[in-house]
Amino acid sequence: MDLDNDVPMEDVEEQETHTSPTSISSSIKPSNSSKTITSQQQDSATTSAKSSSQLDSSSIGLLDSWIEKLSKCEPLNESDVKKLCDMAIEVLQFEENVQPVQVPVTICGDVHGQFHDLMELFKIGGPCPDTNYLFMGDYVDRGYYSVETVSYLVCMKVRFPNRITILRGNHESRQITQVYGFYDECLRKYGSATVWKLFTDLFDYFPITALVDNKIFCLHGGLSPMIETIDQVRELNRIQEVPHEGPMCDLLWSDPDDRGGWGISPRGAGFTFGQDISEQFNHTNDLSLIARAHQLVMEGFSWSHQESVVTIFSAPNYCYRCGNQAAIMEVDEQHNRQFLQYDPSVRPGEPTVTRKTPDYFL
Amino acid sequence: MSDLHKSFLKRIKQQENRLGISINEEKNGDDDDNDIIENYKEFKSTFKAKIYEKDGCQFQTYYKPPKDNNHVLFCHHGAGSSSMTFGELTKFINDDSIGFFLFDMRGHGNSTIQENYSLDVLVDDVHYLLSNFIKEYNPDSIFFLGHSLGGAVFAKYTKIHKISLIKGLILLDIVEETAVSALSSMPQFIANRPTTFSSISKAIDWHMNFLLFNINSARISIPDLFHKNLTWKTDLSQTENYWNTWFTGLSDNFLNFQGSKLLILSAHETLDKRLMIGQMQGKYQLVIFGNNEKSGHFIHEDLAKQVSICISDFIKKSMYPEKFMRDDLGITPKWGGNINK
Repeated sequence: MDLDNDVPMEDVEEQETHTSPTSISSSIKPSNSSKTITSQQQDSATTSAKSSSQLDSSSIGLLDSWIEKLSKCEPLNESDVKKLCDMAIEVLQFEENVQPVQVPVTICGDVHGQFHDLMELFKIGGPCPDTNYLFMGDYVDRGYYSVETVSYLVCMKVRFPNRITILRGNHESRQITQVYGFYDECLRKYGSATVWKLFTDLFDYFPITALVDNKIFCLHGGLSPMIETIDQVRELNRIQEVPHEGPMCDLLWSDPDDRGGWGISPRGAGFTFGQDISEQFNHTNDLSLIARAHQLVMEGFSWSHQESVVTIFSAPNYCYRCGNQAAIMEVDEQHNRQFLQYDPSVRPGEPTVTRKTPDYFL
Repeated sequence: MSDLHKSFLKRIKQQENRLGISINEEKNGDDDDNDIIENYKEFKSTFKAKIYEKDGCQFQTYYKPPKDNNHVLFCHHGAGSSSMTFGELTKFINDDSIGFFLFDMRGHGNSTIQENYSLDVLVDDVHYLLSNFIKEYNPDSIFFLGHSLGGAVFAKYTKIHKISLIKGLILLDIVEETAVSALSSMPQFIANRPTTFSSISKAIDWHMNFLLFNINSARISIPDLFHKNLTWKTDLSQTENYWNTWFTGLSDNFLNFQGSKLLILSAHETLDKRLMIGQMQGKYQLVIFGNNEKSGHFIHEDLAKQVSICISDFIKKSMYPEKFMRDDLGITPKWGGNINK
């Protein structure tokens, strides 16, 4: 496994000769463990920038200035968001429904606008682009900094397109964001819905799944009774709002379940799938693992179906009240997996969001 | 009334004026009242009315049986309300397989005034009514639909009585933490509300100012709240001693119910920690009618049509998942076997 991680994405498919190790070990670090980067390449930002041929030096300068501003949790102005989203569409429209990703990579779950915890994630996992990242959706809603969070990740995506993969979650949707906070946050921070429109239009281009070294199938939700093979995912038209039902909806909404077979999801969208389904899917598609997010798990990660499925959740103390740990999963060149758990970042108090007491409540 | 509240009312008024639907412009007076009462009585007569008697307390009930199959939506209103709060909703559920059982809780609507309003007593009332109803009509399944306090009663009921006929629990605009925190402002609300109105139209106007946003529903639900002399049937202050029993444990009771669960909220989400974790683990369906200025705490009245679609889909999906997928969604599973309930 000495693939150059800097190969442009369009070349990745041609490199399918790489081998996949068969022995996979998992180890779990205690939550307070400090992260040391050992095996990952410490290549510089300039090396990786070379690979994205479309970026000229002025774009790089612009992106770097935006990233610097966003790192301080300061939102971009509206016209810059417009430029950013245009640039991002140029990158994302050429990505695939099943975006190929190589090891080593660090796989992350829901972030939900918890910007300071995202910065903590990069501290724990190592800075991007030195570490490759794969995010499995749900960047916005519920947390107070959805704008900064999604702006930051999209900037990183455009700046280092081969270093970071950002999938679509069920919250990257026009309908959901109008209910769970992103829309209101955009109104609050920009005085209009323009930025919300720009981002939600951009979300349509996000890839919906990724395949790590042909062995780990990554997606936000889970499996669909309409999708038996990964090739069937490739046939979907993903450039649209997340539908209420059907295969694309299921991939973003489904959950693994202790019960076997398919089940109606208690969420009202997607399905539940049992161990038999996961095993059959992994066997049919020659996979070692399904990695997904979507569900809050108190330790930040959780195995299901005898290690055919792992859930990763990367928003610690979700919504500032759930008391859960967060985790990310490192997969190295030998496909060894390692979970890094972390707690909420230390930060100044959250902005107080006044909750309107109902007028009447009996 | 707080300044916030005043400005809220003013804003609503302005919006209504802009939309040309201000209640001030509506015709008023006895003619209108007569129409309202007539329509209200006519609507009620579409149900089978029956009095159930328990320990000297008479319960007014209304039943509209399903035409085929036998699923019954068993409805419990909130404090200060009555069975007719669900009236408008029942008009929109056109599914022949769903029947409706409505009742006035003790001290409400046409049921007898009582002294004890503790949660356990309310749960016991439900047990009495439900047991009798099941004996009489032998339904295939029961879906609980509880608004506000009614939701808390049903959630507690499912904790105490494990009845396999109860397939689903639907809560309308009730969250434990929010409800508990809102209780402190209730005495003032009750003290400030008019004790009587000059006409039913005026009573409807008063509600339409800030509590209700659907005039069609208000014309059914509001007449049910008043005596002939236009004083309130329910003395809410009598219930105050029991408020501290009403909502405690609601979130856990809801999450621990084994059947299908649906929580419908009227505005921006106000989930407490337990409900947030449950929702993020996919334990129940959450529907929020956010960013809609024309809805409030009586969401099933304000958005009767939208709520009715939610509820009938929820029942169909719970009872016949494959049929629902095939007929309503046009989906046939391609692999992995059947879709289980």
